Order: sequence, then C-alpha cells, then structure tokens
Amino acid sequence: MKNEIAVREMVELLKQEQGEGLQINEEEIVKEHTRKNANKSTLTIKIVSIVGGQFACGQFISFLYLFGLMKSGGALMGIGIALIVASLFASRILQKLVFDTIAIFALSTGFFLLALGMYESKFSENEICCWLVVASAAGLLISKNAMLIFISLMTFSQSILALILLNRFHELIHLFITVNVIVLAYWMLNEGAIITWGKRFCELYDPVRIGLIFSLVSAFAFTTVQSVHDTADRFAWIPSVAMIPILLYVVKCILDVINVTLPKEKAIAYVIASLILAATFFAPCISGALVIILLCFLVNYRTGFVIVVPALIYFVCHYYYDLNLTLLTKSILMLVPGVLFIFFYLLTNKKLQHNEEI
Amino acid sequence: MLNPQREDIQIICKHSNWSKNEVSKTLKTAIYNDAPAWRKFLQLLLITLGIAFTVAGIVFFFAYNWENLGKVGKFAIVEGCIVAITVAVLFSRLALIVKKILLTGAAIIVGAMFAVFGQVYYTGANTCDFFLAWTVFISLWAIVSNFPPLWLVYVALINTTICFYAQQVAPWSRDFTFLLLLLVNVACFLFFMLISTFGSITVPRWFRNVLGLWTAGIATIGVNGAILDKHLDVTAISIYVFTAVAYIAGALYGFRQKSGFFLGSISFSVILMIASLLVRILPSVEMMSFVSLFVVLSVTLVIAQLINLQKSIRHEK
Repeated sequence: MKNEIAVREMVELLKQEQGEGLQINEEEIVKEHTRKNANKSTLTIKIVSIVGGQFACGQFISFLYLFGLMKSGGALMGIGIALIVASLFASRILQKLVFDTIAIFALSTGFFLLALGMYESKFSENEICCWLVVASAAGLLISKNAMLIFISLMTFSQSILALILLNRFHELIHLFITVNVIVLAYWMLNEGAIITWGKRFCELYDPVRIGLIFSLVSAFAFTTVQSVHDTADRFAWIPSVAMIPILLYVVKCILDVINVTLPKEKAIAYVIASLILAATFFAPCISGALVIILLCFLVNYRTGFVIVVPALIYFVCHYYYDLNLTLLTKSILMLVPGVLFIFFYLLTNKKLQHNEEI
Repeated sequence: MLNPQREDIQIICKHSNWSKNEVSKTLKTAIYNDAPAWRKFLQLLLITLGIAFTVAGIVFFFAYNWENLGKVGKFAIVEGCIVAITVAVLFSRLALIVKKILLTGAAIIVGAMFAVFGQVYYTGANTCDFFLAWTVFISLWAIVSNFPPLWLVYVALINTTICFYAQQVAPWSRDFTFLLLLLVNVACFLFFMLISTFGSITVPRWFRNVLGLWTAGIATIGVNGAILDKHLDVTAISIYVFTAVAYIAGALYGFRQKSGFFLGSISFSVILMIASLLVRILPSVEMMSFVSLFVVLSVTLVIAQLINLQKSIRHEK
C-alpha cells in the first residue's frame, strides 16, 4: 500500500483527471489508508486466522461435549447468541487485524453452539437451518470485518445447502448453483458499479466475492456425492443453461480485450466455447469451474483463480471416474478433447502470439 | 491515476462521488488483465488442457489391458509416443514452454510404459518397484527441463515410492516412515534452494511454498503421531530433533526471505504440536478448554508478529 505522500499525489492526479465534478474527501482517504496500512493483511495471515479460529472452535466444542455441558439447550443457545453478538459488535469497534482470530473463533463457535442448543432443545433440523440462515444474514449485514462477513456468508450458504440435502430435495441444489453462479458473475463483472453503490458495498465486495466462490465450489462438490448425483442428475442441465450466456459474455469480454475484430476469428472463439459448453452440458461443475477461472482471470483475481484450478482438476477426474463406460471408451473420450485442444492451440497460436514470445 | 491498487480504488470510492463509468474504466486499465496477459494465458490453457487430456487418454488406453494387441504392438505404441514427444521437444521450433509441457506429458507416459511392462511380463513386482523405476527414468528430464510442474511430479513420485516401500516391503514403523519422508523432502527443499541461490535456475515462489507446506505437513503429522503414541524411542526422538532443526533453519530462511508464508506455516505447525503435547501431558477435559484458549491466543500472537514483519518490510522498501 502507498504512504501518505503517494496517496495525496494519487488523489491530486485523480482530481486533475476528473475535473470539477469530483467531490473527494482527501483527509478521510489518507486516514483510511493509514489505518489499512497498519492492518494490512496477507493471504497467509487470513488463512492462519481462519484455520486457527476453526481449530480452536473444534477444541472448545470438544471441551463442552466432554465436560457434559452439551445437555442444557437453553444455556448453549444463550452462549451461542452471546458469542455471535459479541463478535459482530466487537469487530465494529476493534477494527484491528490482530483480533481477527478471536473474532472468527467467537463467531464460528457462536453459530455452532446456537445450532447445538436448538438441537438439544428439540428444534427440528429445518428450524435449526432456518435460524442459522437468519443469524448468518444478520452477521452479513452487521459486520464490518471482512473475515466475519466471509464466515457469515459461508454459514448462510451452507445452511441453505443443508436444508436442501437434509430434506432430500436434491434437485434444488442445481437451482442453488444457478442462483449462485448468476450472482457471482454479476458481482465480478460489475465491480465498478457495485463499489460505487455506497460505503457498505466497498466493505462487502471482497469478502462476498471469495464467499460466493467458496459457496459455489462447495455446492459443485456436493453434486459429486453419489446419492445427490443419482437423484439430482436429471436436473444438471439447469445451471448449464444459466452458464451459456455467462460464458458467451465472458468470451466477448476476452475478445474485446485481445482486440479480435475479424468475424472468422470471433467465430472460432465462440465455436470453442460452444463445444466446451456442449461437452459439459450435463456436468455443470466442470463448465462452472471453467467459468469461475475465466472470470477470475478477467478481473485479475488470483486467490479465486488458485482456489478453483484444483477444483476443476478434481471435477474433471471425478467426471471420468463416474462414467459408466469401459476404459477404452473413456480413453477415446479423453483423447478427442485432448487432440481438439491441441488443434485449437495450433489454430489460434499465430493470432494469439501476435509477435509476442510467451 | 498514479498506479492505483484495487484497495486504493475502493477507498477512494468510499469517500468520493467518483462515477461508476470512470471507476469501471480505471479498473479495466489499471487492475484487470490486459491483452498480452490474456494471450499468454489462453495459449497456456489450450496447450495444457490438450496435452493433459491426450496423455490421460493414452494412459487409459493401456489401462484397458488389450488382449488382442500383442506385446510388440503395445510397446510400439507407448514407446512410439515417448519417442515422438521427445523428438518434438528436441528438434521442433515450438515455444520453450510448450516443449516443457510436452516433456511433462512424456514423463507421465513413462509411467504408462512401466505399467505395460508389468502387464505383459507379469513381473509380479511391488507397486513401489513400479514407482521407483518411473522416478529413476524421468530423473534426467526433471533435471534438464527446468520446469517446476515436472519437479513437482518428480517429488510426488519420490514420496509415493517411499510410502509404497514402507507399506509393502519394509517393516518400518510409522514414525520411521515419517522421519524418512521428512529427511527426503527437506533434502529436496535444500537442493532447490541451493540451485536457486548458487545456480542460474529460478525456483518460483509457488513451488517453494508448496514444497515447504508439504514438508511442514509431514513434520506436523509425524511429530503429533509420535507425541500421541505415548512412547519415546530413538525414532521418535530423531523425528523431534530433526523437525526442530529443520524448523529453526526454515524460520531463519523465512526471516531472511521475509516470507510470511514460511513463518506462518511453521508457527501454526508448532502451535498444533504444542496443543498435542498439552493434551498428551494432561489428558483431561479441562485441558481441552485450555488448548482452545492457547490456540486462539498463540495464533493471535503469530498474526501480530507477521504484521510487524510486514511493516518492517514496508519500511525497508
């Protein structure tokens, strides 16, 4: 991040570029930069905070279980709600990176205890999931801390997935994926618009983006579970239908960036995209992972990219493993796209190289 | 605008009336990937997918265990593929990166060749023999390729060979297997660090981090297993001592390289080891709550130190 002088220079330059119409609070910008500089997070810090918080949560739950404190539903619910409220409000006051692990531990444990308390108090599984949806939505709306927004969003989406799976409405998982993929694509493709909607959206933007990616990948992973796959497979085309316009729009964006104008070249690009969509029409997790990869690369979001590449490899392996065909047929089904990709590489090589060494 | 980062744009948006269109334009020009990045990415994506699918297809082709295909035919196809790829790598005018990806594909097909060998001659060899042969015969390629993904395949094969050897041939204890894996992976790590320090080969940060994380994972599982096993023999002591030495060296390296990833991974691994030790010393219910508190506080402390390290790096800049 920049120091104060660089920030003031940047603001000055922006004022000159934008002219009179731009109203800008330079002092607030400098102040926020200073605060963010002091709390600059890295991916390592985020991962250590989340994993540490979750591990401590597991240990604490084990303690409660072994100590026999799991019996009183009311008390567990009370402690759970208290922890959720405390973590959310503390994170609004103590905006320090160093408290992240404690806040994550408190919020995760709070959600867990709320669910356990309700279970002990004989609430139904559906009621528990619904209340978790409400509690996590409140977390999403109230929290100012990116990590807590992420945890809340994950709890929100996993509770909805739990509702679908526990009630054996496996078909609905494809509706969930469809909505998730549309929201994610909108969120990533309209970054400029969303962060100008207001201060709150600037705070929400990053954690919601990573949360939506994790939520979508986890939903895709659920579709590979045998029982879900068997019952919901006939609706696998629903997310694929939603992905057609998204992938084609992303292809259009890519063609604009790399300045492809000739109709023949555009046609080749759309043919490749259509072939991929057609081949994976009944395996939306593959085309979905590919769409996320392209979206992440389009907006230069490396973390999302790195998360989804192993997921794509897993989904492709699982797809072939699951096919009820002989190894020979599987081999042909791998060789054909392999040869096609090499052919497309050779076909597009000259255009893409464009006097450039890769 | 003066080289803005994504965070700068978000902060300015919070405290100004910067228009939607102008923000989108700035994001496109300053943050999003440009045409050269896309060209490079698309070329790599297509050729990687092409070679990966083709090689997987070839491997599955032999896994089918053809009865009608004679042994000469089988060897002719698999070795023909290897020779064709090697010739293309040596004599074609393909881009260097494409040649490296092709060589990685050939390294995978070598595995298929040994599998065919076992299929045809019913060698009755152990799985570890198969992986050992595979590892040995791609060694030269792994060295000359100067391609981190192939190094990763090579290191994975070494680890797999050791695991299968321990499982099928040697009557080694679990602790000894982990000690050996730790020694081998630390040796690999040292080798790559040495060639990047003293040689002209660049070892990318992602490869260093993956290998470091894998080694720390082995050390964590090995030490935690030894602690919870409740016995103290030479192997257990060796794994403690070697892990301590490796971690001290790793932490010093992390400080020198200003690598938050290294310091964070090692610290978290040590926290898990201490947590296991606490449970082992006093396996009581109360200890679980203490461990929970210990993990939260120690992780918080580690994060505070990582933030300080980051600040010192920024000041140096």
